[in-house]
This record gives sequence, C-alpha cells and structure tokens, in this order.
Amino acid sequence: MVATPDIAGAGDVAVNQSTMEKFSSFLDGEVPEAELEACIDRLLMDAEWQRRWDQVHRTRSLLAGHGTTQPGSHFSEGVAARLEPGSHE
Amino acid sequence: MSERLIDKALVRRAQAGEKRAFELLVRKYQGKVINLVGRYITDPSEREDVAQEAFIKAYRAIHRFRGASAFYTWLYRIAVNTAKNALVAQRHRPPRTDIDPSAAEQFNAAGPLVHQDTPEHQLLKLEIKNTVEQAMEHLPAEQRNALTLREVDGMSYEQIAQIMNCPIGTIRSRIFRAREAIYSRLEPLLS
Repeated sequence: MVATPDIAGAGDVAVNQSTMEKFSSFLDGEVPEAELEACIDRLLMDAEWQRRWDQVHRTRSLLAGHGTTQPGSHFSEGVAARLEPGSHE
Repeated sequence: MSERLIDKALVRRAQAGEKRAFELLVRKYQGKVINLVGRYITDPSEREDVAQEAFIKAYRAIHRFRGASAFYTWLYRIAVNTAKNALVAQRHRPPRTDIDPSAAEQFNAAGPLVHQDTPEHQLLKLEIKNTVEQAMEHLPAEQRNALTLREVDGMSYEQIAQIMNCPIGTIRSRIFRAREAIYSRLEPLLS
C-alpha cells in the first residue's frame, strides 16, 4: 500500500486506486463541482495525472474508432516551444 | 458537471496566464485538430505544422473567448480558418464543400485517410486497432460493458449504474480497471 496524497498534494508520487478513480471520475465530469478547482490544481501539478490525461484522451479516440493518427508528445511540446517569449511566431 | 466545465476551468486558468492549462487543452484536442486540418492539408508534416499554428492562434486569442460556445467549437473555427489560410498561402484552392462550424461537436476526427500514409504508419494504425480490440476482448464482461457504455455511448456513471444494476462506486472501479488494462497494452505503442 502506498501513500494517498490529498487532492491538492503535488508531485509525481505513487497513488492508490481510490485516488486514480477520483481522477477517472473527474475526467468524466462526475466529480462534484465543488471539487473541480482542486482537481484542476492537481492535474496541473501532478505528472501522473497529466500522463493519465493524455492516455484517456488518446484511448477515447481509439475506442471511438477514429483519431488513429494521434501525434506524439512532440506536437504539444512544439506548441509550447512556439509560445515561448522570443519565439519567432 | 461535464467535460465542458473542465474545459472552461482550464480556459479560465489559461486566460489568467497559466500556460500549462492551455497545454493540457492542446494534448486533449490535438488529435481532433490534426485530423480536421487534414481535410484541407494532406501533407502529414505540414498538417501538424498548421495544427500547431491553430493552437498558437487560439492561445493568443484566448482572452477573447467568453465561453458562449464549447471550447472545442471555438477552436474548431480557428483550425478551419488557419487551414484555409494555409491553403491560400500554398496557392491551392480550398475544397468546394465548406465545413459548417456548427458541426464541431459532431466532428468525427477520423477524416479521410491521407494518401501520404507510409506503410509504417499504416502498420502502426493496424497494430493500435488490433491492440484495442484485443484488450477489450480480454476484459471481464462487466468491465467491457461498463467501459463501452461510458466511452462509446457517452453515458454518465449514474446511468450506467442503473443499467447494470449496481452501485455507482462499482461502476467507477470497473471503468477504472478497464482503462488500466487498456493503457497497459497500448502504452508500448503510444509512447
């Protein structure tokens, strides 16, 4: 059994199943609205949640039978780089 | 609460200057936008470049997004306009059939297969498709049913719980475990 961080806890830490279920519920819009901001905080801070975010959206595309041309992380990294100050965009 | 509210919250953060919030929206919608742009731009590398440009335009205009429509509907219009402009820049003619912005919610990201698909790309697509199908087949029936009702039919946890006649917590667990099983099979292909 590993530690369960609270919802606002940051860091790439191992989480237990109930925490990930909360993430699943959050993604599906099933988390109470009062917890939305805390979940967003966590999503923005926690690498594991971000990884899940990517996986869930990729898998959804695949399960729906489309979006098989999913780009890799280079795409979002490219956007981020082009948004950096000093970029010639 | 719906996914739209999650997008709205991320947009609000992006408007407040949190770039990472916008990055998460990019990661969520990149596949859809690339496929949408692919209706206009057939060259795969250029398609990604134009899709990136659409996201950049969206970021620069994010303070003007008031949430009257869903974020993706707004992004969809930007992506279509960016793709059309890219076509003009290439001195190509835009397609004769225009795309209706109101169709954004229903847009199927598949689009036509691109002629320039390489054999390697085709093979990867086939592998991914087979892996998803196999992963689904190997799931226990109750997990497979719960996941299908959620992901394919778009039902809420509550609706699924009613249909499957079990507590909502059980549905959450089933969907969670089903996703876990699929992720573990897909990860080597997607990473």
